[in-house]
Amino acid sequence: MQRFLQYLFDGLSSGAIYALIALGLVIVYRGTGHLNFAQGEMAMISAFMAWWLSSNWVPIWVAVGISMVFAFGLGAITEGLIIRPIGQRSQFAVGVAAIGLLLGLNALAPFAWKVTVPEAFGSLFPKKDTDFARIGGATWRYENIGVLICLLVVAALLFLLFQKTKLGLAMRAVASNADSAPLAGIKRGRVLMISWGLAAAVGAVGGGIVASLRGNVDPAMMLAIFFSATAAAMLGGFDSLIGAVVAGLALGVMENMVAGYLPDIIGQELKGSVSLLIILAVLLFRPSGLFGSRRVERV
Amino acid sequence: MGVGRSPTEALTCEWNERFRDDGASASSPGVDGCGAQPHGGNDVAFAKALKPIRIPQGSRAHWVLRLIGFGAIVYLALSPFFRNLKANEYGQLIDILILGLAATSLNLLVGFTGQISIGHSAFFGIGAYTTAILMHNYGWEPQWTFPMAVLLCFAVGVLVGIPALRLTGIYLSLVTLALAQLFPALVRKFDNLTGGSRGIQNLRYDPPSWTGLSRSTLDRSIWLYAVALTFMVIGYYVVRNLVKSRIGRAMVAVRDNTTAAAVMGVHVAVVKTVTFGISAALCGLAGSVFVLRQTQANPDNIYYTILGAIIFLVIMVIGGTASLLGPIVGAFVYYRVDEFTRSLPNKDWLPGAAKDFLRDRPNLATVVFSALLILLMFVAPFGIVGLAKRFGRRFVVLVPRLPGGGGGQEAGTAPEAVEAIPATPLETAASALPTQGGP
Repeated sequence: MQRFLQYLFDGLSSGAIYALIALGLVIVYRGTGHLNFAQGEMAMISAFMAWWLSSNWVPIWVAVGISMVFAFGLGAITEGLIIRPIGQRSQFAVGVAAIGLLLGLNALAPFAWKVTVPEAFGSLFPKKDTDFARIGGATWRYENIGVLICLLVVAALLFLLFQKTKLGLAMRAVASNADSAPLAGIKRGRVLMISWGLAAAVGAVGGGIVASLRGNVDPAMMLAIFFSATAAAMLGGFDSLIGAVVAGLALGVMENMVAGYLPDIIGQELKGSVSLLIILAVLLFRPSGLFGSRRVERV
Repeated sequence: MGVGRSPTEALTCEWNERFRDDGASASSPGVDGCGAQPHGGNDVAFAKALKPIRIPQGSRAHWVLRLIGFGAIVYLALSPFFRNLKANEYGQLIDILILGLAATSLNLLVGFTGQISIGHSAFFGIGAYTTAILMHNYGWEPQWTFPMAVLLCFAVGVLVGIPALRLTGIYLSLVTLALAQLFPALVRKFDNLTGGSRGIQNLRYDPPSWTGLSRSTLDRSIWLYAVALTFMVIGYYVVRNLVKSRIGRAMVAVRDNTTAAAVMGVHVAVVKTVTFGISAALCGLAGSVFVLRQTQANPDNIYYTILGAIIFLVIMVIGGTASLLGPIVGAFVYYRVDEFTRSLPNKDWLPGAAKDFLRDRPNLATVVFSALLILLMFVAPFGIVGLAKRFGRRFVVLVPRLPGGGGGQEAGTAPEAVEAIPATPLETAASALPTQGGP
């Protein structure tokens, strides 16, 4: 039981990070129907921003907040300047451009900040050795609880935004019918830019948390996480926010359980294979994911 | 992408859109709902004003043109042997050829069959590690490890291709992404076979005695260049012959409209899996040479990670998707950009402040290259070769021969539709002429 709880607590924490990145992916997918390959790298560069600010005497929570604003701008500009104009001529090109963005941002962070080794990043949460709660013999570190709370707060805010505000209504309208929404007076271009910006800002929270848990920032820190987050988004159905949260947490827990209970076969090294198996299983048995809306395709 | 549209449908639309250029697409805009406009209208007007030379396909002039192109390529490929290059210069050429071969293999899959893979670094790595393990653990001669690498990668490629049968678009790219993500982890996990993070060292490929080359660094580089060149030529001709043959037409049919292809009698499953296998095999061959060039195998090498897969994809797209020569051009450009940006801090013509800014900043090359890629998506989604073709068409237009033996003169109306596959770069290509909407 103690082992089980321990894996559960650790898994929830990494799952919360997957969920944050997956939320960004879902927001973008609902808006423009693209898989934003650069979602993880946008979060990474936001984390670098937060690191740079915090190393210049900005309190770390404020730094992460500013990095969210930065990420919002980055996402909005990406949609407006790159994704939309390219999308008007070729969808294949949009995919390639997003992949190019992944590669470019991954290289831009160390280039812009002259970083060659991982740089130390302060902690967002209490991180002393004694900062943990003991539940059923397992330790639940405060920072892991904090990550979970962050996810729940972000998810709740997103829920309120989508369900209770006029902007959220416009975003849902564009998601449900992109061609008719402008006829109802919705500025589609602006809504899409805000969607991308919002996705990047949510990702920035994820980036800050990852950096905080690792204790450093590194250009490669989001690559594996992005991959698991995509698997989570897929499991959740790609267009469902609640699906992304549930699937992200579930994936994190599953990875930790599998790695923990099968240390010789899977272990920490092959954690990622869980995501691969889940992607394959979802695609073979339930292509629209657990919470996604089914799509009917006309041949 | 229209929001209500599935990724699959969007991708199909996309390919149709691209092929609208050839006028060969089976689907009409009204039916598939893509509603794209044929771009390049200005080019047509411009080309008309200039009256480009028209050369009928298969005519003597066409053969002369082809021969000139062929001769130029042969000269470029063989000239290093007569120019007394240094060992490191040979090394650069070998790297270009390796990247070119990897991108060529990817082009077969992405460009001609329409299956997007972000996992070719895994095949590259499997090829590399096959050679490394067979040489290091079993004492094989390097040349016998090449066929093993090819076979193994083919098998793995077919295995990956099987789930890929049900997948298109982003879903397939996710599965291949998973593969790329897993490969370095697997290498680390099975460290008693692969050496784990320590890697495998001392993988020397000495020239065989019949070449008359010594075992010096220079002579080994020359030999490896010859090997890499041979493989590049083999890879090029494998892809070229495949694409120009019956199976190639089937591949393009699968890409443009899978359902229609199946209706026409194409065995979609076989075409997709075999293409995946062949593509993986060629990429593995590139990896095999790469490990010999590096003389060591290490899971931390960028080309075995997902970034490597992305670099292959980017090289291919920059050179020109669905163009035979494109990947090689792309590899060359990639390498030159890399070299140029590395040397920037030492250039005299740059102001001192800029030099100071650039000094000690890693990754400038990748930043520039990604920016170039995104820019190219605006200017020329067909890549450099596509751009060159479009430019060349202003001066020379190749008119396809009609099946009836006639043709040539009335090329302005429709006969471009005869050529279904983007022509090789050697033929200056009427095939990609924008359609003019018919009379």
